[in-house]
Amino acid sequence: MRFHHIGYAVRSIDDYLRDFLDPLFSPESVSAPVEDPLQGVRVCFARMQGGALVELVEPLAEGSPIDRFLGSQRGGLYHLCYEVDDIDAEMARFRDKACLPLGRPVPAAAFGGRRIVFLLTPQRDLIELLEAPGLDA
Amino acid sequence: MAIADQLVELVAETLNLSADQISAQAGADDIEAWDSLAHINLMMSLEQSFGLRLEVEDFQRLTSVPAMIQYLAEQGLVD
Repeated sequence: MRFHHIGYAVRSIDDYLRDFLDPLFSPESVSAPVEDPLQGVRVCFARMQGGALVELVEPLAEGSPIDRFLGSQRGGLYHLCYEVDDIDAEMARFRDKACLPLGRPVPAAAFGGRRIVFLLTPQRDLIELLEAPGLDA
Repeated sequence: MAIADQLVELVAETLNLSADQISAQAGADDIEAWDSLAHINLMMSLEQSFGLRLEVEDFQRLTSVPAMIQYLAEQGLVD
């Protein structure tokens, strides 16, 4: 299991980049936004100085799962993502530690169709598991 | 305490409401605080409090107090 990225919920990717991320943190690069209708979000990735990858997650429409999150007082930190070789086996391992899967693994547009799944830990942290690329990828 | 009363207390606590605001027939459609995020927290609380292991498909049916009581009965937790 390898740490992959930090997910940040934002109301608007464009506004967040322009007003906050670019002027304060000067990311090395920022990817073009990608829509993921299955998740109801639009996302982009910023490679930060030092190497960390930050995913900005914007709701596609009202009622998106992260809409409610954005209205909370918790701030934008949304999830930590780990890349795993066997997403089904890892889900079972997390399940044995009382983590709650929020759905079945589904293909994600932002990762070229690789499957993702979100799990809630008992202390209510949100973890995303991302299937590693196949040998033919 | 009866399981049904325990359940109402659990729902109330998870939704930051008082138990007398949760009727025996209450569901997500009736309670504004019972939104999608609260529902996931509720599923987690249900697992932890009753020692259950829910399936993802259960989340969609356990959206009211009666549905949860029915589920607990199926698990042999209600007389």
